[in-house]
Amino acid sequence: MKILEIDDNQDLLDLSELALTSVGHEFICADNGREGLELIQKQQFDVVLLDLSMPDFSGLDVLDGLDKNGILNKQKIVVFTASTPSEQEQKILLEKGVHSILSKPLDPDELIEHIEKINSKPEI
Amino acid sequence: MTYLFSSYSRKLITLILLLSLVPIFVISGYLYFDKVETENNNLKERLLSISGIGADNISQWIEQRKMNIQGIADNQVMITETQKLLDPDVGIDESFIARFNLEKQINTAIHGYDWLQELAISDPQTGDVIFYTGLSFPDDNLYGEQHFQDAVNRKVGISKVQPSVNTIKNEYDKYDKDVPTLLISVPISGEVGVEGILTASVNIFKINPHVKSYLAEFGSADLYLVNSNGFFISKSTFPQTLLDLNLITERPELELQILKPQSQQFTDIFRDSKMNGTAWNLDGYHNYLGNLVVGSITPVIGTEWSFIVEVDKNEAYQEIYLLQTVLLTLIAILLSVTFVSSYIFANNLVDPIKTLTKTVQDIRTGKKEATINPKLLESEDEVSVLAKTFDSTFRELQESQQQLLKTKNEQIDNLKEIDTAKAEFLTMISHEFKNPLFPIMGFSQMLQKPKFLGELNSKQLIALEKILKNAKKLDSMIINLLDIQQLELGTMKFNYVKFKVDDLMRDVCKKFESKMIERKIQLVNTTRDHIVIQSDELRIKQIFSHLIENAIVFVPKENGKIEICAQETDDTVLFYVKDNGVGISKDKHEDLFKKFYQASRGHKRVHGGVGLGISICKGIIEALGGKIWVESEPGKGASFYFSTPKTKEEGNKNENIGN
Repeated sequence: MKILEIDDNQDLLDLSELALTSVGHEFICADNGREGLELIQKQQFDVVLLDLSMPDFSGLDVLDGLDKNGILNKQKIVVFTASTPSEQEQKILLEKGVHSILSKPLDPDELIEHIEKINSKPEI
Repeated sequence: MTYLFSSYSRKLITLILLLSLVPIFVISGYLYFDKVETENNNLKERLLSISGIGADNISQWIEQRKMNIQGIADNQVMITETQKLLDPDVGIDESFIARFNLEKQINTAIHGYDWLQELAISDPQTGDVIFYTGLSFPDDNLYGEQHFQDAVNRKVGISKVQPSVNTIKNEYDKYDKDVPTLLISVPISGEVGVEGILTASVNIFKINPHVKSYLAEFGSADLYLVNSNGFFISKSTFPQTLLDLNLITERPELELQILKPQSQQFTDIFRDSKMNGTAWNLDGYHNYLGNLVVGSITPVIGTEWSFIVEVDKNEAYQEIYLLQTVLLTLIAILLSVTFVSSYIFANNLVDPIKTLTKTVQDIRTGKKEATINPKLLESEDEVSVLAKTFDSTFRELQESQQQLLKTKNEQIDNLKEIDTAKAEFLTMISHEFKNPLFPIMGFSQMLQKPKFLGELNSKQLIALEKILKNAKKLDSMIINLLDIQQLELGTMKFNYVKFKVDDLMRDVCKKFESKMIERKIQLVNTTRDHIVIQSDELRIKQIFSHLIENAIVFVPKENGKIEICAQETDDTVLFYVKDNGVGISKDKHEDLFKKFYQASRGHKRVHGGVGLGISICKGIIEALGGKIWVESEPGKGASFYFSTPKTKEEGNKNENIGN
């Protein structure tokens, strides 16, 4: 699978790369929202992992950018949050077209399991 | 009384009224009493003059009658012929001639004496009646009579009034029996002594015109003559009522006594007269008919009679009563006028004060548009000066108040800014603290699994375990800090859902299962009720976590026991966490719920954390509309109770839900 992760924390990107490549996935990363948005516009990914809280250009800005270009629905986007989001926030994110929401911190095994579950499930 | 002085206008009105009352009463009182005195004097004089002149007239009339009779007696024919009649040596023929002469002489003498009824001549020695005019004379012998004896002693004798024996003319000139009559005896004096006694019967009714002569003076006057026993002798009027009331059978004379009808005692004036002779009564008394009258009484000289005049009291005091009415009306009018004018005056005086007071009250109750009525400021009087002073003071105050308010608002804004900045800063810091934690935890977890980075030896694994455990602790501390921040700012979000309490309790047990086994603590769930509530499940779990974590710190190392339970009450659910730990003394119960409490007490910190847990519990449960408390004593363990409403509506409605 071709996976893109957008996060301003380089160490977390390294962690995900280590975990995901170890089970044979292709891992591409971007350390800021703008670069991530450009990458998604250029190529198709199987899963995009997006951190919501980033300085300058946040995860929500990325989602808005994708929405404007009309490619939000074509991407499977998993959102990371540092704090547990309320039901209302979850609802808004899911309505925007986000596939699922994960809370940090995440066990590497849980991450792998979650991503593999996405692709085995047929899209509605 | 208090009402009269409860306001300035009332005080003024009362004062003016009181001041005006004095002259009004003085003048009217003077007028009244002066008039009463004059009237009383007049009345007394009039009454006394009537009764006095009446008595005089009667007296003179009687005297004249006496003189008339004496005149008859003093005639030479009378003397000579009486001598003959009484002389036993005189023959019958001569005696007859004497009688004839006497009759002739008397008839001449009494011509025009309509009051004279009969005449008799009696023997001064024996009292035997030897001669009389008319058909008969009441008595054959007069010896025992006082008037006879008086005449014997060369005086004029007068009898008491008595009913006539013969039929004589009554007051209406009709022949009648029992007409009151009077006997007058005079001596027929010769050269040597009293030759005989001439006794005349006088018709009292002839006095009547003299009694009536003053009637015109008073409309309702009653004039009458009474004898010493109070019996009427002559009366100016003959009221039919006397007959109607059965007071008399024929006429008042000698039948009616002047007694008060109520007590059957002499009327006051007659009683007074018995002691003092002439008397008067202007205060009013009840006469023989029971009417209230004023009157006077004068004894008739030469008789045992008294002349009485009585006037209805109301009529006598007519003028005074009229004066009373006029004065009272005048006082009433004056008082009304004074009251009305003082009312207007007082209100004029007090109105500006009232207006000013109203304005001050308005300002006090916070009506911002309240200003002094411009009319108040126009004039130059005392109230105006007060109003002006107040106006300027008020304006100055207003300005300084506004200045103060402005400063205060600025300060509040500043504080708010600082507070917001502080909250934002804390939240930011907390998030920043979290960020480096994620890679620490992630890489540690990865190292634990050989498939990612190869196998570690057992010592390395133990070290790694400790790194991970402490990282997790730090994570939970940061979460607590964020929670307390949100509770303080009121920005914590709650998700209300319906859920089964049974499930929640089971989840809580499950969460702590491994930790309890590790620490050899017995965790028991004693919930029996099957309860469904609408609340924030995660937050309630969070409370349980904090309370259980807290209990874990204090239970003994061996045989530690923690009990959790949920019980249903009417509209709340009661939860508790009970431990068999060291317990807490009562004076510290309140402090438990304060922020950072554990950190500040000198307790051995077995468990990590800065004492935020219980304070967070309190914040959350109160935001959910419930409450939390503790029951504990040193050495007897501690029980933390918290209750929450079963439905959201019964709980706190102010918390913000997911925005």
